[in-house]
Amino acid sequence: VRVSVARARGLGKRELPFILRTILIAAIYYVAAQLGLELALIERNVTPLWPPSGIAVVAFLLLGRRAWPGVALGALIVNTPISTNILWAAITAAGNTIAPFLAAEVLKALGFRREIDRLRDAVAIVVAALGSMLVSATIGAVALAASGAIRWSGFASAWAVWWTGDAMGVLVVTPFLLSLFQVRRWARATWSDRVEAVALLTVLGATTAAMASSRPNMLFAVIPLVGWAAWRFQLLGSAPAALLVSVIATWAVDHGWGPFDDQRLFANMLTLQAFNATVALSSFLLAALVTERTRSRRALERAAAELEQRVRNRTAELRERERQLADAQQLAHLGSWQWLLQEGSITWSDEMYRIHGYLPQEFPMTFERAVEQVHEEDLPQIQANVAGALASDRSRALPNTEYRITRADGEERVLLGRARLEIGPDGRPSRMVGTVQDVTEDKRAQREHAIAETLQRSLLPEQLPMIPGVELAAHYVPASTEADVGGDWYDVIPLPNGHLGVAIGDVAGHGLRAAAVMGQLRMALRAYAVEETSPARVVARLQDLVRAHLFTEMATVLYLVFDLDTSVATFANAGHPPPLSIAPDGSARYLREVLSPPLGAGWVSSPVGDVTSARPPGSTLLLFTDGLVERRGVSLREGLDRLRHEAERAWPDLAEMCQHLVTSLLEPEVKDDAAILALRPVPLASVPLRLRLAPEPRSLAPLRHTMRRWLREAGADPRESFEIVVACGEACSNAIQHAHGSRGTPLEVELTLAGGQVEFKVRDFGSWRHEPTGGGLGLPLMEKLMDRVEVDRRTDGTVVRLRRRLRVGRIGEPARSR
Amino acid sequence: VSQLAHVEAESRRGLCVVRVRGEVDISNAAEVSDAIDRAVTNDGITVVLDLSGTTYLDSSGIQLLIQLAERLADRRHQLRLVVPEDSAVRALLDLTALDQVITVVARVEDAT
Repeated sequence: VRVSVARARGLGKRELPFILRTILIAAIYYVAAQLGLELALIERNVTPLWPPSGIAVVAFLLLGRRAWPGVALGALIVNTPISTNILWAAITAAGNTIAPFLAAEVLKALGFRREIDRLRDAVAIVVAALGSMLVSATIGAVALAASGAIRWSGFASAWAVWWTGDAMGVLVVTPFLLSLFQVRRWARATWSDRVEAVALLTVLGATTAAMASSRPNMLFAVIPLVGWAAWRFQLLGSAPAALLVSVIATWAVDHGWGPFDDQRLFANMLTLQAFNATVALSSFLLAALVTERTRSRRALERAAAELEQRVRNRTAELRERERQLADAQQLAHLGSWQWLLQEGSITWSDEMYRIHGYLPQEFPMTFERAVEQVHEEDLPQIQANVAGALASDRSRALPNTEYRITRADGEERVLLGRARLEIGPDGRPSRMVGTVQDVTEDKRAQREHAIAETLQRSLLPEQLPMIPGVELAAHYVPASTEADVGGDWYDVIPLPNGHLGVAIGDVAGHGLRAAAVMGQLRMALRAYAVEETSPARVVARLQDLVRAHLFTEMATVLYLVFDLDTSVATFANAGHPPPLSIAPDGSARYLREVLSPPLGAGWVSSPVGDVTSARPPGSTLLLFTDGLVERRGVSLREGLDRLRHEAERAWPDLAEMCQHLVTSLLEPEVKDDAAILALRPVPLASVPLRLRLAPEPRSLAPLRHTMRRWLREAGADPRESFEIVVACGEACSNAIQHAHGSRGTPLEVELTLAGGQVEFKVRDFGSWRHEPTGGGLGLPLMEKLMDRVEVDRRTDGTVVRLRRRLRVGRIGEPARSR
Repeated sequence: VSQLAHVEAESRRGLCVVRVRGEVDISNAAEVSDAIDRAVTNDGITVVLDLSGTTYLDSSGIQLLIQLAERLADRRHQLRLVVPEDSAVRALLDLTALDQVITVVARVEDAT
């Protein structure tokens, strides 16, 4: 595994094979050593600038411990010819290998970075160079002395030169070599930078050479130039500059130039090394400082740029949100406000200004201006709410308030205000925020809807009249959408002649207008129904009315008169769905015989015919509006078929039938309203007839109709029926005429059949103060027509009983069919 | 006139013929009476009141006929009632002995 990892790493870094690498390091080491030996001061093997040690450190830094064979080999080859024998050469070479290895290890331990761009890197390389090279200097100097190459008296100076040489080699050469790895930076540099760098190094070289060869020791004069290079180009400037200056200075010492010509070796060495060290240290420190500063400046700039971008983004975001909020407020007619209580300042959103009829932010808002449009009746409530909230010591919502404002142009609007009080950290009310919604249109729509609904409800009969012999049931389903009030209606009208008028209609459209038209039609029909006996005439007059008054609405109506006496229904239909006739056995069919056009503008009047239909007891007639059968995606014919299918069975209870039809035919969400009305003649004589009549003459005709039917079914022949009806009518007329003081208390009428004898009883609650009218004919007539007449006058009213035995043959046999 | 009864009049060969259809009771007796008065012209001396189409008549109706006969007599007019023999109203008139006060005939043609 380790092998494969190593190989993988090796392949990854594209490293040279071991042998080749070793030879290459050794070769570079050897060449550098030869260059260094050119500057040798003691014998031929101690030199004040020993580049190989710098090269070896770089090799260890780059390749790690693996570099040791190359370094050792190079050192051995270099030292062998200049040592007394191979043993001493090996010892020296070992020292030359261990020292750079230690230096590299020390650098790693100190966290050294090859870019030398921090102060600690510059310090680290100085420490490593000076410290580690003690090893090579000691080993080398001992070897020289021990082998007899120098005398022990010269040991100190040899050691010093060796140490400083190796240290300088590291200090000067290592940064230079490492700077070569940054040459890529030159590729990015501007031409003026490149020219400046070249010119600077040239001037530096020339200056150093000049100073080193001048008699007074003026070498320090190059320091500013070195500083310049370090300042401008950092490591790329300082490393070559240090190397250049060191090489030239060492060369000068070696050749006894200028300031070094007549001084002793040791003193010269000291001066040189101090100078070199100063140059190297100051240039690297400066370079590192500048780099560090540049880096922190860049980081700062980057942070600043980032911050600026974030601020820009945030600003844009806020602006966008503000715009969206304004849009939302405008769409919802919703304004918002804020009142800072401590500062006493009020701000309004744009929409608040618009709601109040101002231009957005037209003027600075004040409390006085904020409430100046509020209706004087509504202001106290708002003030009370605010005062109540301010007295509170915790944040809370104010009660929602609906109030009116009058704008500057006089227009009144209805607003719904919501507000909230917030308590500050100091426990005192800090601010109040709120929204205001313009609900004028909503209120108007609501009001109209309520009026229309009330109107329609009031127009539909609250309760169907109780008509003996007829069962009636009706059901009205309003449209489920709040906005719509339909124009469906129905009416049941007991007619003066004892017949029963039944109407059902539908005004096109919805809302207040439809409800109003419906009300007018219904009243007109009631009026015509009293005047006209023929339903066709009633409908024709409605047609005329509609045309004359130019209603734009289209309306359908079906009007039916049911003759209780004969059980025949006569009807006329103006554009309305046909009535459904359900026989007692449950079979159903539509009565489609005649259909006239609907009422309404644009329809040419056409004769409307009456249709008659005999309605035997137990048969049902179903009237309905199209809301019951119309359904989205379903044709009217299909709807009618569905209704017939649902209705086609024997229904004992009409109300139940209506309920069933509504439930089974209507969808849960009714778009249109629907009305349904059912009428069924029922057998009468099987049970006693008990009625309560208003004590008014107009009650008599309907009573006679009911009695005739009852008597017919009880088996009376027409002549008997006529006579009994006249007698009973006389009794009732008397009761009505003398029911003074009864305060409208209804008459109680009862008709029973027992053992072939008809008994009629009428009870009033009045006082017979006057003699009967009709010339006193009433009582004698009753006595002549009936078998027995009893008048029982009491203090609280009078009871009249009439009896007559029906002719033999049909006694107690109610006629079930005609 | 309300729906309960209809009153129509025509002049035929010097006769004023007034038809009363429907029902007469205390609710409309006064109205019917007024209508008959309006219908009666001075064209002839005989007023024929046709009750063939009258389906109901009670004591107030009989009272009306008696008073009408008296008013016409004051104006020197004669009243003839037309009531079919088999009608229920005829039986009623017989019961009240009205036929002894006013001439009752079965057909309009018999009224002359």
